[in-house]
Amino acid sequence: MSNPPTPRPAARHPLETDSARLESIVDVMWAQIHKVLHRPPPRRRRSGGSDVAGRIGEASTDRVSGNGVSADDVLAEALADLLQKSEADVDTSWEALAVGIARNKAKGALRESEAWLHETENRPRLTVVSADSPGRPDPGGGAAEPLLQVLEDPVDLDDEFTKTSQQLELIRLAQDILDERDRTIFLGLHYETRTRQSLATQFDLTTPGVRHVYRIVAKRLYEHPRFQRYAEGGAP
Amino acid sequence: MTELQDPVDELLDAYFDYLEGVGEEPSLDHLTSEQRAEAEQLISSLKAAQGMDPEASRPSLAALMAQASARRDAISVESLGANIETALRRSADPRARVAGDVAAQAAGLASALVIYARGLRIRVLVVDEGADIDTAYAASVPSIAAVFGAFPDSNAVLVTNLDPIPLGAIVDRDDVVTAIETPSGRARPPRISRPVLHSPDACAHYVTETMPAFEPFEHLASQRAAMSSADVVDVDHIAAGAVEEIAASGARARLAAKKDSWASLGRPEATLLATALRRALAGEFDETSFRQQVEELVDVA
Repeated sequence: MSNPPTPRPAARHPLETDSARLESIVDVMWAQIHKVLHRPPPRRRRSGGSDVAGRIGEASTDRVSGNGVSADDVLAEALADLLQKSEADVDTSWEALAVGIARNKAKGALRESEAWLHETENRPRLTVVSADSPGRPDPGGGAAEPLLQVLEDPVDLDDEFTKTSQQLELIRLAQDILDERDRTIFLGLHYETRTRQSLATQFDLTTPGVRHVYRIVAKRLYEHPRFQRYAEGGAP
Repeated sequence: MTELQDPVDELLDAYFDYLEGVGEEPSLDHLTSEQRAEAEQLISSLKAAQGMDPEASRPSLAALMAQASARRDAISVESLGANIETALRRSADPRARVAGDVAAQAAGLASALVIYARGLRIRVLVVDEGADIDTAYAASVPSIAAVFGAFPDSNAVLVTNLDPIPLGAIVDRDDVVTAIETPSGRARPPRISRPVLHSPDACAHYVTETMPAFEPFEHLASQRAAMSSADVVDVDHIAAGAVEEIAASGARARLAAKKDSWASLGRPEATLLATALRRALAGEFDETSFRQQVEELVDVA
């Protein structure tokens, strides 16, 4: 039997002492979970084009909620996991770790709900190759390196955090400075919840007119000082 | 006259066609470097936005922190249960097990786990992280009493925190009621009578003290396979003791006949009884033969 140890107060997680940073991390985790849960299937050419549905993709539908898993639950689980981690678990930054946890939790939820394997016809064909087979030829004329040596991590988590933060700022900016028409067109097209045709019908525009509005608004948002601060890697 | 379209507009239209499933992903190769920079920014931003829902509102940080805390507690409770089970199996009962206290939770009671060891049932009440157990106990007396009341089969309640090294104390049923203390004769409020220990150790101590391990009944006989029960038991001594006891009772009897007959029992009867007992242990006892032998002894007497 071991001797009874002395009680000690529970330590606070480092992120709990910086609520602004934690808020921005949770925002990005939330967006990342949505990106995984609601990622549209690979593009397929449809035979017709003019009669596509007014809404595209499945962005507003919670694909896993049928099995009792929601983005809220996944976020709570991912945050609990993040707050269990210590400084020793951080390779690059808390932000990158948070993105990785959020993505993995969302993928896990998809697998548990069996949605992961739906729509097999939309999945790209897999080709098995040996990792030591030669990769692409060197443009300089040198020998091609084995595939194993040219494989890269497909996602830079720090970069993903920055990009997602920028997208979240775009949404906030659009909601703050755009009128209803411009906001609806920009958000509808940018986040793939609307087609140009449905927006054209709603606002009595042509489809090129909708695209024109989108381009003008996008330029305005990207050049806005608030977005520029995010684009430069900082946060207001 | 046909108006020439801006190449970036054309590309954007083509890219939206692609997103809407009516075209292939367009190439940027034909654009000038300036056009290409703008197009790349637009397309890169569209790609980064894929799957995001601008209308979705996330739960508040406070709500998420509360859920995260509850989830961490659940993981900690599970881990505590596993540690207690391991400690009990090692030191008290190899068949000990710890399970979630579904019955208590369904009844809205505070017990999180049930420990089963050596026929005992200990329920586990978790207090706040870092809490002093004596103080937490005083505040939890009504909850503990409710657990004892709802589950009369509970032998004890472990009051424990979920610190990295969890501390706890075993509370007996008597610890949750006001008791009259000796020698003062004054009523004392409920308090913990057992020491605060590392929680798995507290359980192991309690189980060992309350339900000591007994050797299995057949243990002695089975140590030497060749030895039968008759070899282990001192049959002559048992028979002589039984006869002596009856003779002593007869000496105290008030009826003369009983006094004479019982007091006269001695070695012949003890020998007969020992033989019968030896046969019974060997599985060869014959009641008819035994009765006949007893009757012969009576006739002789």
